[in-house]
Amino acid sequence: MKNKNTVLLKTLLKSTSIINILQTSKDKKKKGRLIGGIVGMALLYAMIVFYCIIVSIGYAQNGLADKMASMSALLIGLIAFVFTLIKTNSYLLNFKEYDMLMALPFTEKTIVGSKFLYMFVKSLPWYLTISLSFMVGYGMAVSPAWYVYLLWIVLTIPISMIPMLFASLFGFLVARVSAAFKHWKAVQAVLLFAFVGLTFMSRFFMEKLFRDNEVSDIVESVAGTTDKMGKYYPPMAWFEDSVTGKSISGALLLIGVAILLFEVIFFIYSRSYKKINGTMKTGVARRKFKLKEQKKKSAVRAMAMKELKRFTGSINYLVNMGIGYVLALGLGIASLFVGLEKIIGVVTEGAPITGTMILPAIPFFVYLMTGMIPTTTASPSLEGKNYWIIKSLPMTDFDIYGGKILANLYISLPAQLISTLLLCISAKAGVIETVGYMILGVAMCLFSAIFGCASGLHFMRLDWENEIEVIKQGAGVMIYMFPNMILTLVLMVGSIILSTIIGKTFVVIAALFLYTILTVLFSLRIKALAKKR
Amino acid sequence: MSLLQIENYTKVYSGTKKAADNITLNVEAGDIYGFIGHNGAGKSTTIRAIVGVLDFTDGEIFIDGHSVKKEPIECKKVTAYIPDNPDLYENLTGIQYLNFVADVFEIDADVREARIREYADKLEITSALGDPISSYSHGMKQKVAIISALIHEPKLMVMDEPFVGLDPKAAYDLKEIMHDMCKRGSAVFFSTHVLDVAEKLCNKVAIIKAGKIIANGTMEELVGDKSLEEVFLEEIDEK
Repeated sequence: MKNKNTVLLKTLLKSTSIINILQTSKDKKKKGRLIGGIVGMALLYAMIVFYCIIVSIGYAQNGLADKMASMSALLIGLIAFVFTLIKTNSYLLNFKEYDMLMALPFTEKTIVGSKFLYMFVKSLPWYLTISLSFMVGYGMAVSPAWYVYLLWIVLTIPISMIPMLFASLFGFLVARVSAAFKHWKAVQAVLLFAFVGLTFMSRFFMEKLFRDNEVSDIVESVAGTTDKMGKYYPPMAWFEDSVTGKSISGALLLIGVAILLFEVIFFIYSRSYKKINGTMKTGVARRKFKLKEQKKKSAVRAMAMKELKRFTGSINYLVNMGIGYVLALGLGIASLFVGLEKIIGVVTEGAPITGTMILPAIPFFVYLMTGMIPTTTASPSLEGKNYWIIKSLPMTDFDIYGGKILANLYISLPAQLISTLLLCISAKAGVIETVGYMILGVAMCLFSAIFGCASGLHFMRLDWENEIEVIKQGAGVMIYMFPNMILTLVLMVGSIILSTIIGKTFVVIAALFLYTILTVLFSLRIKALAKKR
Repeated sequence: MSLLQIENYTKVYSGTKKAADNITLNVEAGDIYGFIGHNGAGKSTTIRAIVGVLDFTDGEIFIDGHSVKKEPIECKKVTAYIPDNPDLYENLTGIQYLNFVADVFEIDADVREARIREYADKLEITSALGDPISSYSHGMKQKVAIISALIHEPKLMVMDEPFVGLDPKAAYDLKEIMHDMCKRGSAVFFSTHVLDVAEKLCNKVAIIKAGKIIANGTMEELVGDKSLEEVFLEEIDEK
C-alpha cells in the first residue's frame, strides 16, 4: 500500500517536472522555451555559486572558517523565510486543483503537508546551492573528515525547511485572520506587506548586533556576533555545532525540530483548512450594481485598466510585485520625518557620509525598489488560459503590450516620483537637481517596464498550474531582475564618483542617454517578439 | 437505503448571505437525482459541501451513513465528484492522471487497467491517454475526469453540469454509464441546466431557488402531464 502523502507529492512533482514535459509533450516551441529557461536558471545558479565561494574564501582568509556553517545557515534562513512568506499562501491555499484534491480521500493534513513538501522540494536546489558552495569553501579551508560533508549535505534539508515552516505558520495566521473579514483580500495584502516589511527591517536588528559587539578586531566581532545570533535563532548554532564536530546533538535537534514543527504546523492548518479555502474561493457578491453612464477609453488604456485590475485582484501578484513600490514610498515618507542623514547613518552604520554626497545616487536608489520587478515581466504569461480574449479582439500588438507597459507606469511612476521628491527635499537638493532626478526616474521606470515586457514576452508561458510559477519563479522575472539590479548598482556607485568629476548635471544627462538607448533597443525586441506570439 | 442524506443543510457566506438555506434531500440507491436551478441559486455550493470541498454552517450531510463533517475520508472513499470545469494536472498525461487517482483509491494494477480500458474505449479516448492533458479539449478533459471518477466504482456519483462540452456520443455514453451505475445499486446526483436531459434521465428532481428547495420529489409527482421546463418556470415565477 502506497502512502498517500508520497502519492500526492510524487504527482505534484511530476505535474511540473521538466523531464516529464520534455518526454510527453510534442510541442517543439514549448520544449525550446523550457530549455531556454534551464539555461537562464543555470546562469543564475552559477552566479550564486560564484558569490558564495568568494564570500567563503574571504572568511577563510580572515580565519573565520568555523563560522561559514552558521553564515550559510543564516543566509538560507533569511532567504527561505522571506521567499516562503510571499509565496506560501498560493502554494498551500486557494490553489487551482483544490476542489479536485479535496474530493479525493485525502485528509486536509495530507493535502497541505504534501503541498508544503512540494514547495520545499522545488525551493531546495537554491538553498543547496548556497549551502554546498559554503561547504566547498569550508572544505578548501579546513580539509575536514569525509563525514562532515555528509552531515553538511543532510543537515541542509532541515536548516532550509525550518524557516520555510515558520513562514508557512505566519502565512496561515495571515490567512486565518483575513478569512474572518468580508474583504479578506485587502486584509491579507496589508498583513503580508506588514510581515514582509518587518522582515526587511530585521536587517537593522542584525546590524545592531554587529555594532553592539564593540570589539576592534573584525574577526572577534564577526565570531561574537554569529554566536549571539545563534542564541536568537538556535538552528543556526545547531548546524554549526554539528558540522564543525562540536556536538552531534545539534544534528538530532535540527531533524527533530523540523519534524515536530511540520507535524504541529500542519495539524493547525488542517483545523481551519476548509474554512479558509471556502472564504478564499468565494468572491464578495453585493448584487447591488446599477448600470450607469459608461465611459469610452482607448484600447491601450482599456488594456492598462484590465492589467491594473489583475494586479490588485491577486494577492500573490500584488505582494510580490508591489513590495518595491511600498518600500520606496515608505523610504521617502520616513526621510521626511526622520531626516535623510539619520537614515544614511543607520544604513551605513554611522560612516561619515552626508546627504549631499549621496545626492546623485537618489534616483538610482529609489529605482532599486520601484524597478525591482515590474509587472510586465509576468503579465504576458499571466494571460494564461485567457490569452484567447486579447488575441481574438481587434487589438494591435501596440495596444496589448503598450497597455501592459502603461499599467506598470501607472504604479511605478507615482512611487518613483514621490519618493525621489521627498528624498530630494530631505537632502535639501536644488530645484533643477530635483527636476533632473525626477526626469531620470521617469526614464528609468519606462526602461524597467519595457525591459520587463521584453523579458516577459521572451519567456512567455501560458500553461502554468499556479500563477506563482510565473510571478515568483518565472524565467521572465529572473532574467530581468539580476541584470537590472547589477546595472542599477553600477550606475548608483558610478553616479556618486562621476558627479565629483563631471558634475551632477552631466551624470543625469549621461544616464538619460544610456536609458534611452536601452529602452529603444528593448522596444524593438518587443516588436519582434510580439509578432511570434 | 439512503446513499445521500442532506438534513437542514445551511451555508452562510460572510456572516450574512445565505447560499443554501435549510436544505433537506434524500438520494436512495438506484436514484438518478437531478438538481436544477438558475445560475447562482446555490447548486454548486450544495454540491461542493456534499463532496467535502466546502464547509457549511448548519445541518448534516451523510453519505452511505457516514457524516461528511465527522468522517470525511469514509465518505470520499465511496463518492466520485466531477466538477463543471475539471482542473486536472495539465502537464501530466491522461494515463498518468488516472494512475494517480487509482493510487489514491488503492486500486490493484490489473483492476485499474481493466476499468481504464473499459471506460476509455467507451468514451473513445484511449489513443489520447499518452498525451499531456494540456493538449486536450474541454470535452476530452471531461472524459478523463469521468474515467477517474469511475475507477473506484463509487456508490455515489456527484456531478456539476456533467454534459457541458461533451460531444453527443460521449453524452450518450455518460447517460448509459449513469444507468449502469444505478442498476448496480449506486446513485447519481447531478446539477444541470438542460431540462430535457433531466426529464428523460432522472427519476427524482429538486428545484432550488435563492438557496431554498422550492420543489422536490419523483419526476412523475412533480411533472404530471406537463414538461419539466413548464414546471420549472412556473415554480421559479411563483415562489
